[in-house]
Amino acid sequence: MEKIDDEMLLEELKKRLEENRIAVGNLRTMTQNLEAVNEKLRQSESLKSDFLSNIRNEINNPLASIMGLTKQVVDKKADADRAREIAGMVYHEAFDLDFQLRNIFAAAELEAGETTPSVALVDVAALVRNQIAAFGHKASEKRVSLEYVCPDGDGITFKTDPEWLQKVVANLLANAIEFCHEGRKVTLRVWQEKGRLNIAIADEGPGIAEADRKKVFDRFVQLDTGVRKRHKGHGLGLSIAKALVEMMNGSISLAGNEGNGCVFTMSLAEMETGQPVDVTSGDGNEFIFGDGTKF
Amino acid sequence: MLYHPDENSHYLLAGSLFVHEERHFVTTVLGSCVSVCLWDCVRSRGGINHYMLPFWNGEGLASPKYGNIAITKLIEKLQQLGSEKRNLRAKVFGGGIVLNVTNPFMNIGERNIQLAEDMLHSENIPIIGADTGGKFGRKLIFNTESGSVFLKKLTKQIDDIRL
Repeated sequence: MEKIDDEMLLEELKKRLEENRIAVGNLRTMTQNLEAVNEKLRQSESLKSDFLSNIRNEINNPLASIMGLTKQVVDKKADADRAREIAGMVYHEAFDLDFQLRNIFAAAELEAGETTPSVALVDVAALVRNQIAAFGHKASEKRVSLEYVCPDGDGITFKTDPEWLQKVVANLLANAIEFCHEGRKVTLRVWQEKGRLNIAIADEGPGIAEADRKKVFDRFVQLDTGVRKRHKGHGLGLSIAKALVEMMNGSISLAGNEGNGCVFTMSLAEMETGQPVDVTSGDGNEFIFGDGTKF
Repeated sequence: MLYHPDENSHYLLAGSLFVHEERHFVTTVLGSCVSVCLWDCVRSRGGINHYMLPFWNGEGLASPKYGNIAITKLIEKLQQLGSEKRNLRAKVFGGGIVLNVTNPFMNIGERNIQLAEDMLHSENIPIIGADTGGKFGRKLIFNTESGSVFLKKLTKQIDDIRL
């Protein structure tokens, strides 16, 4: 056996102490991370119970006004002009309710892992224009103008799930209109680059502080909460948009708009119906587990 | 024959799961992600998940993109279809090593595998087959009726697969 002198022993001791110091450091970082995650989960749980208590109002209020308004027509208390006006109001209330319910169902499906794509060749310009038309009344209520910019012209077709893409655009658009200052502009830009589809939706609202930008994609999170809460909704829209974009082989980011407001930009890769990657077999390695016999 | 193209087939995306009473051939492609296949040996039916990260940390939606949610949900779904936990058997795949990791203690693939082993152990579900780790991706086809799995190792580097 090799003889060990004092110097070697000291050296070894030093090395081990150093390793120990690093391990303790790592442990400390991990503990801090754990504490942060723990806090976040606690918050998420409390937001979930807030959601359950808020949902009552968010669903009851529009339903009550729909019933009240239609009752006037049923009771023949409204002439033709008033009836037309009522029909408009009922439509808007029903539109909001439908939008919110769809979001709740979408979040539930995503959380259950039950969303499956049906990929098709999508006419992107038509899809975006449809959404702009659908949200037109919301924008005009706030005197917000919606601008559609598409330098590549109207011929963009893209292989993706049309329903998912529509949901993402609808949520980003609804969010932009909700937070845009009155009388200002929301801009939707669509362009293709290196085979990817990019959509950017910019508003001219108060903007979002850099520190809060990651938080807005968490579920049930709305930056103004409690008694100060001025905006409708449950804080589900952006979390749904992010989850769907990620399932569509894409990413979504949030930046400040020049001057004021913010820009949500998503970038999607085309989806394939069957195999998303090149599946060449590595050196003929093919295994069959439990074929024929029971498991 | 293991797979016939005319039969019910399903492509499983990362972050989702699939359970069915009838025979389906479920295809998925894994890099550092892990799939747990659960199969009921009495009722001859099964399900599969595909998760990307071990734990949900409160960010985004609490979806089966995260292992702790994906495994719990998969067990629950099979139970909803009438399966009993004691009849469930598991196979675990994926968890390849992502190249260029900065911290070897934080390797996602390994942590994904570890989570599957720990959770299945605490649920008392035996793991009767596994092919995990390594520096390559995997494509697998799971037969929900027989529980058999056809696995192909991919030459493509995991960094490129992003699953």
